[in-house]
Amino acid sequence: MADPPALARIQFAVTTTFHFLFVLLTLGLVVLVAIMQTRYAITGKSEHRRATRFFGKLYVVNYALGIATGIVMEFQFGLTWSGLSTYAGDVFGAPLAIETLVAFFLESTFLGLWIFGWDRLNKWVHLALIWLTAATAFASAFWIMVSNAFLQNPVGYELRDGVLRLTDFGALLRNPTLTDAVLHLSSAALATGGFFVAGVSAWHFLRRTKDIVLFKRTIRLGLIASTVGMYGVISYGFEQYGVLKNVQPAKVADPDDLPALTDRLGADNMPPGWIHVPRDVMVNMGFTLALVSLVALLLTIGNLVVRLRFPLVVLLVVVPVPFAAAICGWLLREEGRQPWLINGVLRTADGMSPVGAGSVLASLIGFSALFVLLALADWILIARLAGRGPEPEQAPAPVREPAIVL
Amino acid sequence: MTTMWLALLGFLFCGYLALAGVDYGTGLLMRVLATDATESRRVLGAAGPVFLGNEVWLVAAAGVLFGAFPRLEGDLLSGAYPVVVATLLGVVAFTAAVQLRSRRPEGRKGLWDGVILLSAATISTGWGAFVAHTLGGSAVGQLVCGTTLLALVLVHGSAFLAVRGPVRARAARVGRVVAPAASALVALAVFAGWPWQRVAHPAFALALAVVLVVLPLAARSLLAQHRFRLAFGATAATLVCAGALVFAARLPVTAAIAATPTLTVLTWFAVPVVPIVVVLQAITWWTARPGRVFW
Repeated sequence: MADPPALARIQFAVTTTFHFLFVLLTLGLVVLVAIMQTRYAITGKSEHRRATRFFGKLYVVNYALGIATGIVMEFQFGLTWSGLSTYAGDVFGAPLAIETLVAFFLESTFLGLWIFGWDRLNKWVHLALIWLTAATAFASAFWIMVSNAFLQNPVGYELRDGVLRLTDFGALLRNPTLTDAVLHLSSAALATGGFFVAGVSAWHFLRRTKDIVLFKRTIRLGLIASTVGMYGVISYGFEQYGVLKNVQPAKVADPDDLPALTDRLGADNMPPGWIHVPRDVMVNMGFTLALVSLVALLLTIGNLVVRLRFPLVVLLVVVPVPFAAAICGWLLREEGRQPWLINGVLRTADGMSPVGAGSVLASLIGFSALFVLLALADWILIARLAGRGPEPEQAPAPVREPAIVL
Repeated sequence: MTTMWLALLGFLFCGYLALAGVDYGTGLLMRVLATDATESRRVLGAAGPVFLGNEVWLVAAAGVLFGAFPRLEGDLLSGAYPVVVATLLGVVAFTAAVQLRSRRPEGRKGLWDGVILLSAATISTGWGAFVAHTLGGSAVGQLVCGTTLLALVLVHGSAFLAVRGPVRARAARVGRVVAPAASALVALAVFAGWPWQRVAHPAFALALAVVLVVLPLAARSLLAQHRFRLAFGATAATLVCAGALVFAARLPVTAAIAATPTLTVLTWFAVPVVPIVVVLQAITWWTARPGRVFW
C-alpha cells in the first residue's frame, strides 16, 4: 500500500467521494428549489417563498463544500496524474476544460447573483437565475461524464507522436458509455434531492410543526421527485448492462463467471474480485428506495403519510441511503475499470506523476483530515438549519443598505 | 491560436489574482479592522456578493491550463507538489470557512475567524511561493515572493474595504502602512532574486517589475488623498502585473500546448462563455455597490 500509485488512487478516491456527496445533493436540490421558486413567482403565495428560502439556504450551505472540494479535483490531474494529462490531455482535458468554463465558472456566477438578488432583482430575472444555475449544474455533470466515459471506453482519438490526439469530438459525445450513465446519474441526483426534501419535511411533521401547508407541499414535491428519479435510476442503470457486456464485462459479470472471464481476458486485465459487491449493494438499495418512495407518494393521498406517522420515520431514516448507493455506483464504475486508467490504452500505474510516496501520503492525510472536518461542520450546520425550519414571514422591504450576504 | 489561448490563460490567472485577492485581503483584514462581531460580519459581507464569482476564476484558469496546455499542467503542478498542496488546502479551508461562518448568524465565530485568517495567509503566501518556484527561485526566494504576495494582497484588501467596507478610514490607514512595505518586498523579491533562472523576456519582465514597485506607492498616496476607487484600481493593477510577470518570464510555452483540433473545440465554447461571465460578474459588482437603489 505504500507505493505512490496506490496512495494517489486512495487520495483521488477520498477527494472524489467527498466532492460527490455534496454534488449529488446540489444537483438534485437545485431543481426542487427552482420548482418551489417558480410556484412562488406564479402564485405569489408566501409558503412557496418561505419554502424556497428555507431549502435554498440548505442548498447554498451544501454548495459551498461542493465548490471547495471541487477545486482540489481539478488540480489533482496535474498534481498526481500528470501521466494522464501528458499522454491523453488533448482528448480527456477538452471536456474537462469546457466543464470548468461553461459550467463551473458560469454556475457560480449565476448562483452568486441569485443569493444576493433576493428582493433586489426583478422577480422573473431572479427566477431565471436559479434555473440557469440548475441548467449549468447539469451541464457540468454532463461534461464531467464525457471525460469519464472516455476513460471507460476511449473513442475519437488517434495515437500520434507518442500522445493521444483528438480526431473526432462528436465521437466523445456519442460514446455509448456516456448517455445512459448521465441519465442514471441525473436521476440519482433528482431522487437524492427528493428524499432530502421529503426527509426534512418529515422531521418537521414529527416535531408537530405549525407550518402544515408549507411542509405538506414540500413533502409531496420531494416524493414526486424521488419517485420519478428512482424510476430513471433503475431504468438507466440496467440500460447500461448491454454496453458494459462488450466494453467492461467484469463490471456486470456474475461472481461465478469471473474465473472463465479471467481466463479469456487475462488476470492482469481484471478488476478486483469483489467488484460485484458494491454493484449488488447499490442495486438492492435502489429497489428499496424506489419502493419506499412509491409507497410514501401513494400515502400522500388523504395525507396518510403524516397521519400514520410511521412513514415519516422511514422517510427520515432513508435520507442517507441514496448517498451510500451513489458511492457504491462510483466504486463499480471506477474500480471496475482497473487496472486501466484509460480502458485498454493506459494503465493506472503509468498515469502517475513522478511524485514520491512520502509527498502523496502527506497530502492524502492533509486533504482527508480537512475534508472530514469541513464535511462534519457542514453537515452539522445543515442539520441545525434544517431542524430550525423556515423563517417566519415578513414583508419584503425595499433594501437601501448594502446587503450582507455573508 | 496559441497566442489566443495563452492570452486567455493569462487573463484568467491575472483575473483570479486581482479578484480573489479581494476575498483573501478581506479575510486577512476582517478581524484587524473590525472592533465587534457586527462589524466583522459587515467587513466580510462587503465581499459577499462577489465572493463565489471571484473564487472560481481559479477553477477556470486551471481548466484552461489542463485543456489547452495539458503537458504544462503536470510540469508546473507536480513539480511544486508541497507548495501546491498547501495552497489548495488553504483554498478549500477558506472557501468553506467563509460560507460556513456566515450561515448561522448567532453561532460562535472565533474558530471560523481563525481558519479564515490562517487560510487567507496560506493562499497568498502559497501562490507567491509557487510563482517563485516556477521561475526557478530558491527556498529563500520562494519565501520572499510568498511574503511579497501576502503584502500585495493586504494592500489590495485595504483598498477594496476603503471603497466598499463599513470601516473605510481604518482600512485606508492599514493600506497606507502596508503599501511601502509591499513595495520594498517587491523590490527585494525581484532584484535580490535576479536573474531568475528561466526568465524568457528579461526586458519586459524588468519593466513589469518596476511597475510593480511603483504601483503600491501610488496606491498609498491615493489612499492618503481619499481617492479610494483609484487606489483600488492601482492595487488591482498590481496583482494583474504580478500575474503578467510570470507569463513574461515563462513564455513561450508552445511545446506544451494541445493540438489544433482540441483548441478549435475549446474555442467554440470559450468565445461565447468568457464574455458572458465577465459581463455577469460586472453586473454583480455594479449591483452590489453601496448606497444604490436597486432595480
